[in-house]
Amino acid sequence: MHALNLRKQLADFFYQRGYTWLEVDLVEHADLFLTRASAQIAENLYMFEKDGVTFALRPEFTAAAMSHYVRGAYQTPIRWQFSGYIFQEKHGKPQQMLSAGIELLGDAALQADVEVIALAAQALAHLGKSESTLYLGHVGLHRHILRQFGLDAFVARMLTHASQQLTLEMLVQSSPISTLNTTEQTSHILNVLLDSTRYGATMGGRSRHDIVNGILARSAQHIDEAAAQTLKGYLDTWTAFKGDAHSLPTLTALLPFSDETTQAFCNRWQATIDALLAQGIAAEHITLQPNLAHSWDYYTGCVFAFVDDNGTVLANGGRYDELGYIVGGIEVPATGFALHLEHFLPRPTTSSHQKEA
Amino acid sequence: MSEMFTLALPSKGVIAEPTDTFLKEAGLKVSKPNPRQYTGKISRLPALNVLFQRVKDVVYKVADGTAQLGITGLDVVQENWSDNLIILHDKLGYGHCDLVVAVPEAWVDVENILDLARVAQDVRDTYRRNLRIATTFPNLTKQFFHKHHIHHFTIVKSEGAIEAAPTIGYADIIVDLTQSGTTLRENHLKPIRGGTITASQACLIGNRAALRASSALRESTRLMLEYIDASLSGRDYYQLTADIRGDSPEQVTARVLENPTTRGLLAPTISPIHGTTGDTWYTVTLTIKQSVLLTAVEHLRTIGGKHVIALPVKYVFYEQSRSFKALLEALNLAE
Repeated sequence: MHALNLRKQLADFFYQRGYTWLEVDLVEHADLFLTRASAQIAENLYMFEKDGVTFALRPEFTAAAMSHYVRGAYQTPIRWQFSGYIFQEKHGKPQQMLSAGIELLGDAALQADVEVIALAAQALAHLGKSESTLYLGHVGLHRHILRQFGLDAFVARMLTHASQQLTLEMLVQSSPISTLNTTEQTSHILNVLLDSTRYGATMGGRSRHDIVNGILARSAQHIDEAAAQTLKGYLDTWTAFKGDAHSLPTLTALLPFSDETTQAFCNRWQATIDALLAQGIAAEHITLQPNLAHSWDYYTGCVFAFVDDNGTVLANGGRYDELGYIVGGIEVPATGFALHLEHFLPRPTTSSHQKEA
Repeated sequence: MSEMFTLALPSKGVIAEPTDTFLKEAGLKVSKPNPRQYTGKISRLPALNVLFQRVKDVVYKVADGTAQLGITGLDVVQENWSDNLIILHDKLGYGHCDLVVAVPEAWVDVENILDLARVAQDVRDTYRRNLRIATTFPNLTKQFFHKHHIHHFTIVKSEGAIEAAPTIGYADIIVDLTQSGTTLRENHLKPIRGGTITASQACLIGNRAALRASSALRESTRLMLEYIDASLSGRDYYQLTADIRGDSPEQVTARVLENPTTRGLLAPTISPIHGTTGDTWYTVTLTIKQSVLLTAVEHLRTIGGKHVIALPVKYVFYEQSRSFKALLEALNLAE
């Protein structure tokens, strides 16, 4: 099947299920994509400058769709579909890949999650890939647990997407504010700040106020060795866990906290799995992999990927309720997915969408 | 006429003179008939013409095939990496320097890369701008920052006096090469933990396609690597000789082997000394690690060793050049 036919076939398929077409610009301000990009996306983003402004060729559709939604001030849930080429940089040149997908914006309900995941499964079946495995993870639950350790959103993101070991080491190294009262460190800090005033040494574009706030922030995130070990134990469990469609209670029992919010996350996740089973997705085709990673760190809830027997990610997506705030300052519950169409075209092409899990 | 190839060497910069010295000590002295010309010869490598180039140009020339081999800094190679290149030896043992992230000393809230990631986010939230980084290494800097989840930064390309950029005000932080950190300190900058992008030293590179295609080039490369590997290995060793009184070679050997530092590369050589009156004497010869020199000497003394002589080792040739073997493996070529 040619790319054009494939796109048309999918457009009809999504349209029949209530998803209208959204035309997304090829070129956007690079900031739109860098805001919650992962290292892999940011490093490979094809960027260029014009009149001092940095632009990028779109590496995906979701951020642009959300930006469009925010600008349009829509009040009701919107169902959009898209398809076209997305880009990444390889050896200084843009490399294009074909992508298609949908976004369901403005709907926080469990049913929206189920609708989107089930639609991805149906689209794959429509394209003759009904045998793929559905991997399910949960970014929101993970972030909540990290907050229970006293870590702020920034550190939680670093632990989720940057080097875990390095981040842990550096958290332990951060001085708690209590040690700043009497130690030499306090006088060192004061002397450096005084010197910068007396001799006009560089502040690197920051104010003393910024630096004091920085000291407070890093001090608040300090954890001792024992807490670091507990945290590491949790991270290891979260990373290593892999179970079948009925394994969520086992995972829940391994979590270090069982507060109300943790329970609420787990209950909703279980309800999502039950609803997917009720929709006809076979239990043997579902794998729970809580740390399922995606190339974007804007996800906030249940995330998923459909993976074939060769380990190729055919489609992935999930809930991303914070992106509206990030790109436009308003909260927009949202979920969606993308299909990586190069895997459906007759000629095999190089792809970056290898299994991330 | 036999095939000729080109070895590009640095013509100026901090590694130019050390490269000349390094090759000379390895037995590959470069003769430059006319100091004003940018060419030279190495008598032990007759198939190579030497071409002197700027450190960056060494990389370019080898990558585009103008030169087939080159010596330059690993930092420059990594920054200007091309798939046409292959690193033949990445530790020539001189020209050491680190490419580091350095921030203003006044940033007392920044001690490591995690702190810097938070500052990048704060600068973004507070001032609606990116963290500005002055560097001559934009590619390595970008890779490093993205890898550490810092995406909101702008590279300010600069040539020279990078460390002054934060004071002048056109950058917030810098990424630059440092040897001792003195220049950073003089400019009120400090390196941060986890902020070393690469630990660099001089390296030998080659053109992948040329090395794959030409057996004559591989042979010249093999000769060069034999000298380099053997010379670098030799630096780690001393040859010791000592005269020891004993009843038999076996008895002397057993006493020498009592201490692991005097075991030598394989075992000591024991030779009888002729012409002595009375006692039987033997000369013990062994090759030891430089780091255990005094321990080894002390042991030889305790077992009656006299006249201990230590000589530096110029070369240690193993069964074959390890670097050349690695090259063949990297090129998927059989020996």
